[in-house]
Amino acid sequence: MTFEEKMKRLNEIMELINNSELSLEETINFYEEGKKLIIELKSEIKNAEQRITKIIE
Amino acid sequence: MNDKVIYSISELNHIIKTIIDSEISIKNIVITGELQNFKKSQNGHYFFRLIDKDSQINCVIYSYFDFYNYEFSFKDGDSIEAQGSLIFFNKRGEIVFSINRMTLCGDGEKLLRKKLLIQKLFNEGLFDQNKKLNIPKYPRNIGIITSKTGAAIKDIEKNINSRYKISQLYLFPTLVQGIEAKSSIINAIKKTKEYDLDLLIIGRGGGSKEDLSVFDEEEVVRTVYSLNTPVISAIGHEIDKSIVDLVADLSVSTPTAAAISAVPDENDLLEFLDISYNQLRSALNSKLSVYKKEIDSIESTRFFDGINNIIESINNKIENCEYLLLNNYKNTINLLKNTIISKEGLIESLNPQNTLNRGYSIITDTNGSIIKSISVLNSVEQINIHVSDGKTNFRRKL
Repeated sequence: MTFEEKMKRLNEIMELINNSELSLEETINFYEEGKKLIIELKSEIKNAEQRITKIIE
Repeated sequence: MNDKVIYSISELNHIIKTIIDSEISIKNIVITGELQNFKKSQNGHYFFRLIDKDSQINCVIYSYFDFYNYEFSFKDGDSIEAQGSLIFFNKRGEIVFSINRMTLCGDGEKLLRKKLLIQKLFNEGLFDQNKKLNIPKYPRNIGIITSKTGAAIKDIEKNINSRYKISQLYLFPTLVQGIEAKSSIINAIKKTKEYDLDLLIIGRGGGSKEDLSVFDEEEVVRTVYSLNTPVISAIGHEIDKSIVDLVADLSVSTPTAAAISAVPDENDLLEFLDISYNQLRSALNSKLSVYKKEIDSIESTRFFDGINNIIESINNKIENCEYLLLNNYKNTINLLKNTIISKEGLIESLNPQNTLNRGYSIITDTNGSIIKSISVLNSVEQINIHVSDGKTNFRRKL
C-alpha cells in the first residue's frame, strides 16, 4: 500500500470504528488494523530522508 | 447679386458628399482616440464618438463588420485605434467615421486578444469546475515546470522538503520568457507525461507582467489542459491571472503557496496519527464497556431467569425422550428376540458336534487348526483327533 492508500484506509477505519452496531470482534479487528497502519505511517514519516530534486532535461 | 449662385441645402450636402467620397486621402485611414458613449443600436450597429483633448468625431460600426464581439470587448474610456473612411450623411448633414476594423491601443490590444481567447476557451468548457482534477493529499512524485535558475524552484524545493520529505521532486526546466519560451514550455509539459507523476506544479520564475505572456498562449494552455496529472499553477498575479492559471486544477499566487497546497505538513500528520490512535483506543474501550454493562445486567437478571427456563425445557424434553425410548426399546427387544430364535436353528445345524455325533472325527494340529490334507498331516509332529465324546493326542513315531 502507498502512503496515500494507508492514510485513506486509516480514515475509513476511523469512521467505521465508531459505528455502534459493530460487534466486539469487528471493533477489535479495526483497532488492530488501525494501530498497525498508524505505526507504519509514523515510521514512514520519521524515516523519510530529504531527496535531491531530479532534473529532467 | 445676380452673379450669386444659390444652393439648396440638398445641393450643398450633395457637393460635400461628392468631395468627401472622392477624396482618397480620407479613405481607409487609421485614427486614434478615446472611446465615448459606446453603445449598440436596435438594428445592431454601434454608434459612438472618438475624442482627443481638443476634438471629437462621430463614428459608426455597421453590424455586418462582425470581426469582434464589440459589446464584450470595448468600453468607454478605452484608447482605440480605428481603421475606416469618412462618409457624409446628406440628410443629417453629418460627417461620420465609418469603421471596419478597431483595436485597443498598445497593451490594450494584447489584453483584448487575451479576453477573446478566454471567452473562446470558456465556451469550449476548458475552465469548467467539474473537469478539474483533485489535488492528491499525499503526492509522492511531484513534477515542477519552471526556470532552472529562478527563485520559484528554490521556494518550492525549500517548502516541500521542509514539510513532506516523502515526496520526490522532478524539475522540468523551461524558459519562461523570450521567443523560445513557448516551445520550451510546451516541450517540458509534454515530457512530464513520460513520468509517473502524482502532481505537477507550473511556476513562473518571477519578473514583470511581460514575462507571463507565454502562459496566455493558446497552445500552452491547451497542452496544460491535455494533462491527466493534476496541475497547480503559480504564475499570475492576484489581479491579472494568466490563462494557464484558469485552466489549472488549482491556482495560487506564489510558488511558496503552491508548495504548501501540494503537500501536507509532516508535523500535522504526526499529530493527526496520535489523535487517531487515541480515538481508536477510546472506541475500543467504549465498545468493551458496552459489553461489560450487558454482561452485568444479564448476570443480575435475565441470565439466570433464562437458565431456569432452559433447564425446565430440557427436563420436559428428557421426559418425552424417556417415554419414546421405553416404547421403542420394547419393540426393538422383541424384534431382536425373534431374530435370534430364527437364527438359533441355523446355527445349531452348523454345529460340528452334530457331525461328530454322527460318527465322524476331526483331526487338528496342536494349535487347533483342522488338518484337511495328507501333506499337512505328514508335516506335523503331533495331532489331536476329535471324536463325539472327546479328543486324544497322537505323536508321530520316530
